[in-house]
Amino acid sequence: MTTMVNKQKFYTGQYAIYSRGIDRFILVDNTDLESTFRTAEYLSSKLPLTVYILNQPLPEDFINYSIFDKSKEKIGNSPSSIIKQAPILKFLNLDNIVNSGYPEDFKKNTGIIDQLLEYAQFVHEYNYAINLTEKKYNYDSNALLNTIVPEEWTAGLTYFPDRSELPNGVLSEIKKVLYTYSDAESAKTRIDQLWTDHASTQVWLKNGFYEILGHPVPTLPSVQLLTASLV
Amino acid sequence: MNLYFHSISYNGYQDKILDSIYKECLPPGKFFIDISKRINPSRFVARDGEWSLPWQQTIIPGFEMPKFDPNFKLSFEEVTDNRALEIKKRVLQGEQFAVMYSGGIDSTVVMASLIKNLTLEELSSITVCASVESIVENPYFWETQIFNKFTVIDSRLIKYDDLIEKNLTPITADEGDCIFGTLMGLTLYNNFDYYINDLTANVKQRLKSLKYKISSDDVHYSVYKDLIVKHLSINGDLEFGRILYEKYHWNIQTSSVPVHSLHDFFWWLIFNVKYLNCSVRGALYFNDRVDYKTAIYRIFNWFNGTEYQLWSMANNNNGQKIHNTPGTYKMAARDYIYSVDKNIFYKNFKLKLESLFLIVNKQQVKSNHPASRIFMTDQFKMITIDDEEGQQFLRSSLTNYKIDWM
Repeated sequence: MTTMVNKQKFYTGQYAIYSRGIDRFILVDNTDLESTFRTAEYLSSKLPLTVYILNQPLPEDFINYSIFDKSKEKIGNSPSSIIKQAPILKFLNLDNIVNSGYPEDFKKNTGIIDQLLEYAQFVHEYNYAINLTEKKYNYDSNALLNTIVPEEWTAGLTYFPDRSELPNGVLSEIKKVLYTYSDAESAKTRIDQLWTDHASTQVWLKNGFYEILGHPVPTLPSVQLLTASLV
Repeated sequence: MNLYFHSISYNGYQDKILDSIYKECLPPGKFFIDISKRINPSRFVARDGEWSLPWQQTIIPGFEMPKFDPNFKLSFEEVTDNRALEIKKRVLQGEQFAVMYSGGIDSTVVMASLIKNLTLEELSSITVCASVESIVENPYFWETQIFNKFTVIDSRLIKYDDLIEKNLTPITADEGDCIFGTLMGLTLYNNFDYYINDLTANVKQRLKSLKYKISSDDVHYSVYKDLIVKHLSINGDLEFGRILYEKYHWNIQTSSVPVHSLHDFFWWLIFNVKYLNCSVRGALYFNDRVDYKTAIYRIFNWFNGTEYQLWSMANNNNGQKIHNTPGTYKMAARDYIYSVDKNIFYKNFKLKLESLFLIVNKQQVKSNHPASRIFMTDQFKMITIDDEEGQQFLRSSLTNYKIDWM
């Protein structure tokens, strides 16, 4: 019974990513805590974030909402607002939010907030696709071997994350794109190219990824072919 | 005994003795110990204006405040470039440097400035001391400006004495906050709505309209007094907050530099009474082997230049230090970094984070434990709280302390 209570406490079905610098929420999710937190990790290359487990849904205009009392939010002796760049996880009762309007210092520069919100949504969508593709379509066991199986069991044995020639697999490369890129269009182009170049022996993985996204499978010329034709 | 430094700290090491002395003290002595419960560690000494301490303490030579010059005209960019040119000159004379790099705004200014002003050959004399946290804090700068371009030392494995013994001159940006303001102000601005909520209706209404006037020439900090007192309080003890506010206020009234807005108030605390701590804490607490005097003067404090301090005094309330919200803190530094790396997200969304403990190794020694170091005399002799001499001095000083500012 205790386990069930804890599950309900953490998995309320209402999660949000909050920018401690802008002092506003930038993304909401009503499905999956782990994926929301991972999205915050990707976005942490741009700004420090807190993931909140909420007790009820945020208003739709969440960009206008900030947290009323942050004085008790601490990690150790330090205010959590200044603690680290990587995301942190907190609970939030929505009695403790306040409509503060559009972020004051961005009223004359809404474009940068728009770009951030757009990129956050893009990353979140692709993050879900990565997670589901990994579990539904990837036949290899890299994640299991890397994290749970005792290292000494696999010493001297070779294993691959997928059937591409990439040392960490295509999905890992896509994760790096989400972390290092800053705009959705460029990131999407790079990801499409990655699939084009590294999916010849695992077409099902690529097709599955785009099926989950609900996007058509891209038909780009591969970099290798382009290079060859230039030569 | 005349001191150059003191460190009263509830750090687990000093607690028992502080608690014991606390019981013997009259209210002024208790107040002084309480400062370290609110702002830990308590290492404050004024460079300007009145700030009574329980003991005689003078500013370590080289860390005095320059005379305020209202006509100082150099921009942050010019001052920063000049600082890099000082390093360039020393590099050309054969000196090797190691930058303590956290990925935060201050140390990124240092790196950006060196990258901008030194040639590739000159940059080969610069080593970067960083930890994995430095990468996480600013991955874009790491990828585009540092990775594969500099020799990197893992800062988690070294202290200042290690660098000095390798004949590297450490460069620290530890005084960046002194130039721009203080975390203490940011945490107040960040909780503005909450803090004003239970003030009287009139005060609340007045302050609500001033939420975005924190760095404004037309609103004096005393207008926010109720808010500041609440922020300075310990567990709701407004009396402590009030006495501490009055101590700061008296210091400002007796100083020679204009301090006007709410952000000025908090900037002044760190630019004046906390400055020495930021300047020498690396030499005194992240160093076990190099004598303190040598370490203090060997470490290159990037923001401890005269021009930076003059810039800081002449650039209040013009948007260079902060606009209206904590997210715009250190705007001049963000602009400088942006001029080098063009990272629009870092410029707009970077947040001031605690970084000292992420980049500096906290390897501790058994004797002369850093947490025990409580006084340094004007002969650069360190006295620990384990020393009978240190305990006696602390006890007699605190029991005789008087509140003389109100």
